[in-house]
Amino acid sequence: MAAVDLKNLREMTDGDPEMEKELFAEFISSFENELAQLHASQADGASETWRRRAHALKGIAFNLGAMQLGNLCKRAQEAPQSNPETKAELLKRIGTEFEDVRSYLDELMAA
Amino acid sequence: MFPDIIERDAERRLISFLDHAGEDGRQWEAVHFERLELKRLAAGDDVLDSLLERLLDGTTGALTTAIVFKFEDGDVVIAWSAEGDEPCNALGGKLHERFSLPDGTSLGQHYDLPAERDPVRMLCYRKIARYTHRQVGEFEAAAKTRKERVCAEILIVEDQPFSRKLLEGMLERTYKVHAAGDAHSALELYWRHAPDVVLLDFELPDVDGDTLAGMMTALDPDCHIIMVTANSRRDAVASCRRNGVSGYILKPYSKQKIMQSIEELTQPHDQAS
Repeated sequence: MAAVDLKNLREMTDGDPEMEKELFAEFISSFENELAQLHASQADGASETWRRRAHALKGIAFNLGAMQLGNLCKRAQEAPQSNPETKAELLKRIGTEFEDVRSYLDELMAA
Repeated sequence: MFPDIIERDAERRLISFLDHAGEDGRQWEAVHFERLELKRLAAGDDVLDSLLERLLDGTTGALTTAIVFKFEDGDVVIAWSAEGDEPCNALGGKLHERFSLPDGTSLGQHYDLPAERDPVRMLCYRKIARYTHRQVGEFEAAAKTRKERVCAEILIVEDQPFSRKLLEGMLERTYKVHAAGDAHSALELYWRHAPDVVLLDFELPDVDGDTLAGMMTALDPDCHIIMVTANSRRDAVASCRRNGVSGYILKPYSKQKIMQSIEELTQPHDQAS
């Protein structure tokens, strides 16, 4: 199964390939930036920052159509008080899923 | 440029005031009666009700005590804690001692609430935005053009560049679109352009979306605001409703849902033009 369901996004862009490429690039940049901040909040134990950053990541992922990634971010958002090990595991899973999404988008952008 | 409404203002002012008042009793009286006069909150007070609802429905859980103060200029400060929590009890005592009339009448109100452990917290809230005459004048001039517009104008307030671009790309084929990544920029765009509809995210870097909605409503009681957010918490939805929000769309959204919601709010305008 593809890491991203683009049906909804393509409705929004009316299938404009140039706009899609711009959005994919913006998605990767936005997600990377927020994910770095989520990592930082895990390191310094700031639970409210963790929740807000996970919430932002969830919104970005769902808007793209990356539902699996969005669901992982939702789990992170709902567990701001988790211990460092649990957060580290969630970060690892989000990072892995994000790489799958990125590879998928890279292929589409290269086509 | 920014209306004087940021939530933490009240807390800073209160702390500064308490520190200052501790040094000089006379100065306290002068400040008390001339600048920061507190009023007793009446039962059924809208501000108090909404704040307590926000506390009780929020993520903070149940509370044991809460002390509520309302400043004459609209600021509200609430301190609350679990029973036996020394810092908050000390703060509460300090507040009660300071904010009382010579006859001993307390100007704050103390509530006993259901017991459960909770950390010490303070919530500070300023209800009413104050705009400058220039900002109001600019907004009124822009609002007069609404009936003459060829197409409706939409303001997108979304801090995530990806989500913002997605909405912009979708809407600019049909509407004139303005976009902002924070509340500060959004308000400036609002009073300059008087948009017909605002699509507003809840979590913004400077002010939460419900507060921003209240600030827009204070300037323009007829504004149309649709929340577009992944936040489905009951207290967030209730707060948005209290702050004049017309609709609530959860992410992930569809194009149809967004367009339909805008059309419902702009239809009279389109028909008239």
